[in-house]
Amino acid sequence: MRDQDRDLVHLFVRDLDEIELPPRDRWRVAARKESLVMKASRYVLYATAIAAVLVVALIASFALRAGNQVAASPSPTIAAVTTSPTPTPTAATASPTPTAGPAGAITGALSYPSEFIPPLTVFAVSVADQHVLFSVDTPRFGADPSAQPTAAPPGPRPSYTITGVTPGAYYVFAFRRDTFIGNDIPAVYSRFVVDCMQPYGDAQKPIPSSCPNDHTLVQVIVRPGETVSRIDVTDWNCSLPGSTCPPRPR
Amino acid sequence: MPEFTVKRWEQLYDRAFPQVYRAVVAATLDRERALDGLHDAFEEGLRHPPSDDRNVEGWLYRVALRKTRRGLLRALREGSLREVPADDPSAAVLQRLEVGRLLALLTKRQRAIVVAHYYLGLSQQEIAEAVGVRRGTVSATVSQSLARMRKGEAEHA
Repeated sequence: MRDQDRDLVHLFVRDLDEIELPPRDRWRVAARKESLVMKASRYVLYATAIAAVLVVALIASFALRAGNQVAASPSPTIAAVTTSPTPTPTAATASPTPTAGPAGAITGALSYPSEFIPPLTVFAVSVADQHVLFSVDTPRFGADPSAQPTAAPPGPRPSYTITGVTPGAYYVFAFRRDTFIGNDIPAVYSRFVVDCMQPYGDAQKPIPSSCPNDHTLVQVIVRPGETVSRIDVTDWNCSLPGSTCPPRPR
Repeated sequence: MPEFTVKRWEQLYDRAFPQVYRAVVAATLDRERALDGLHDAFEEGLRHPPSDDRNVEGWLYRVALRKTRRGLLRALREGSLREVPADDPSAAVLQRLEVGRLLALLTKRQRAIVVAHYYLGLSQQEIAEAVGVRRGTVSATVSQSLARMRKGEAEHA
């Protein structure tokens, strides 16, 4: 180092060392305190993460519950939903019990006393043994239930099909799958459907007041390899006095 | 470098603080901003510690200067740039000192380079990295600054 440089170094060190230092406690900044906004943001983030996990878990549980359900749009124009059955066979003793042979199917219309139809599980329960049952999950049809009622869903009536049904005699009914007060009251395929709703029940032929208020379940006979149609699960009045609703299968 | 711990970083920082603080004050002529810059550099060191603790002073000077410069730019953008008060002890000391008079003749960049060179004793390469210029520019800037300080000294005499 040249003498001149050495002098300058000496000068710099001598003079700059006279600059007063801040108090020792100010040398380092204390750990930055979290502001209220940051704290709130952190909690919102945690809550969002937890909610996301719950939603994923919920979706997964619904997916598991739906089993083999075929994806279907909840549009009212979608008419049919067909899924594989979920049989729960047990030993059958009485006639007409489900018997061996080519499986049959049950199909029919669905309805609900609103402008939409909630997601349902349609059951076909053996008359002889309630532990033998087949079911299908249907999606929600129609508009937002919170919307003001305007008109019936356009297009073909929503329907269901239960396939793979072992031949035998069955009662057919449906329960809501979503959480709703009163969702333990099912829709049934009943005498009222056969005698009143199917012959009448449209704009041209309203149900006459003289039509008997009989909501007794009607047996559906499934023969090997045949599809039983027009099993409309459209009677939501089995809870009326004098009638009996089937319990939700477990 | 020994295993990095917060404790270790605090020790290194405390050891380097006096010299680096004075250097940053001399380079920026702003005590508070120099301190803010060093605080930021301390936090930066906690997140991304220097790879070599043999030249913590150089690292701190570089980071603190960068942070100070950003603070200045931010203040300019926000319109909150404050003048260094006339009674600022650092400014007063610098004005009183021979070095202070000499540094006042230089531009900001020249000050940063000259202080790093003559006070911190950083190499040209380290200064180039600290100030963000090429190594050749450091050498040229030191020469220009020296000439300017000599001329100022002669006029003062």
